[in-house]
Amino acid sequence: MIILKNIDFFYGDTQILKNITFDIPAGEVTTILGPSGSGKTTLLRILTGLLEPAGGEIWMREKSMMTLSKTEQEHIRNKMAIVFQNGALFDSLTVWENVAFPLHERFSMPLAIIRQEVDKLLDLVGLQNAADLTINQCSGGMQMRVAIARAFACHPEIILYDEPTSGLDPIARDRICDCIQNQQFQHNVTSVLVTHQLATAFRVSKRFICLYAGEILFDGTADELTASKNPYVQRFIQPSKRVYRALDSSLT
Amino acid sequence: MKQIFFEINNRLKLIVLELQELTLFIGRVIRSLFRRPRYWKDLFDHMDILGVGSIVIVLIAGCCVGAIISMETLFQLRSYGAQSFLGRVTGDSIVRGAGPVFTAMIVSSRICPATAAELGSMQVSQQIDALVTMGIDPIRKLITPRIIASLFIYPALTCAHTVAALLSGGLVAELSGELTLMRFLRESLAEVSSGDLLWGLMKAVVFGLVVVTLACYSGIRVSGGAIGVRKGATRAAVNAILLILFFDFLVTSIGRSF
Ligand SMILES: Nc1ncnc2c1ncn2[C@@H]1O[C@H](COP(=O)(O)OP(=O)(O)O)[C@@H](O)[C@H]1O
Ligand SMILES: [Mg+2]
Repeated sequence: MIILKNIDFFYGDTQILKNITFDIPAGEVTTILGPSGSGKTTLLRILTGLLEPAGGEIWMREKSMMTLSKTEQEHIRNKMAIVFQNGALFDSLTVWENVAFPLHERFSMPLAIIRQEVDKLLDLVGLQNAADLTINQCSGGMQMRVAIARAFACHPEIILYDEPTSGLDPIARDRICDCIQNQQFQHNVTSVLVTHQLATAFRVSKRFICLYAGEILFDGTADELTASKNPYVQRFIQPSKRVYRALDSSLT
Repeated sequence: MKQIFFEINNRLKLIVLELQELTLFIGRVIRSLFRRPRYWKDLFDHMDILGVGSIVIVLIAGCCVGAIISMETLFQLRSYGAQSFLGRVTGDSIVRGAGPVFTAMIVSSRICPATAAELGSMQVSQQIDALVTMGIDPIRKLITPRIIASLFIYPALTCAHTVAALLSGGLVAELSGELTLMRFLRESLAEVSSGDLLWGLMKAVVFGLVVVTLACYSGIRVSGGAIGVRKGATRAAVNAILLILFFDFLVTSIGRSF
């Protein structure tokens, strides 16, 4: 369980995040929705420790991160993986080497075990035939799946996904949704999904947070989201309401 | 007037901030140097890129520099009728003077902008952030191996360069008919003490250390896309050349006053 309390963040004099408070329950997928520039990526970077908030507290494992030493913080954050918006893959390495990288560099596993693990992960994301491609030879959807496999490689307890399905075709998107759900169901991973695609969000997640210009507009379930009277939330979800209804009826 | 004052104040603040960042960076690099180097493979890779990749151009440059110094010196000495001193005069200026500086300039012009551009584009595409979130220290993984490699490679290449320069200098002497190659070499080496040799190598070590560290810093501080990478690479190249000359001036003025 992760708790954020009154998080503020500034770039220069511009306040990007204002008094963000919410919690991320363990073992579930929490979705953060919001238009471009609303501060979603910034929020994820704060969670990973790449950015320091100007004010507020982050609690992980019942401990306030601010009170911990650097090594203790690192210890907790090593259980966390992030899938960056652009993938952030090592473009001088192949697909296989990218996925093997954390296993080799951080855990110094023997090569035989790394082979096994990487093959399993590439299978999972459906890239078993792309192992020897370089990153530049991969399409956007493939790159995102490599990034996801690389994040899974560390066996994290928490995974943050930054718009993993943006700009992808429906099939690639479905695949990624499957991967996210697989981690949740098989390994009980806590996930935070940042997206502005409601179809993706409704498929994998039950809990939604809407961010608008650095503020939380909404925090609740799917039903509450579609019923929300907030005009910004309404505008954001309007086009997808039909999708949600269709999904809803197909599930019941 | 007020505006100018404001501007100067801002610039000064920026410079102080930059110096502070640089000091922090150097501190982290030094700390990581003394921890066990885990990344042996990266170290050897960089030695390969830096050393083996530079050897040919260093040798070619050495031949040219040796020949030029020898010809110029010969021309000067002739006007005093002192051609027979050619070996002694040239040896010293190659071993102590030109060798380390030229080598450092050539190697740096290959290495520094490339290093800054590589690290910069890793920074821009968030690959460095990715390392951090995987619990891998980017300084230890990316920068320390480069700096340690430069510690070995700059002196080694300086030696290669110096040998090439002495040989080509001797060849010029031989062809001009003033001295034989063997006599040129014997006399030039007789003039060079082991202290001079050490001095030259020490200069090479300092050049490599300073220049590669700064190139890494320029790279890792890049922000803002392709233009940022360009700025970082340019800065690394310019800093390298200026710093080599400045340090050479400093080291020479200390060395020659004893
Ligand atoms: N490095 C930066 N420097 C200054 N402003 C930034 C920087 N990165 C992002 N911003 C600003 O912060 C705001 C939130 O950005 P971001 O978190 O990336 O939004 P999102 O991921 O929701 O699209 C944007 O208005 C953006 O202009
Ligand atoms: Mg974003």
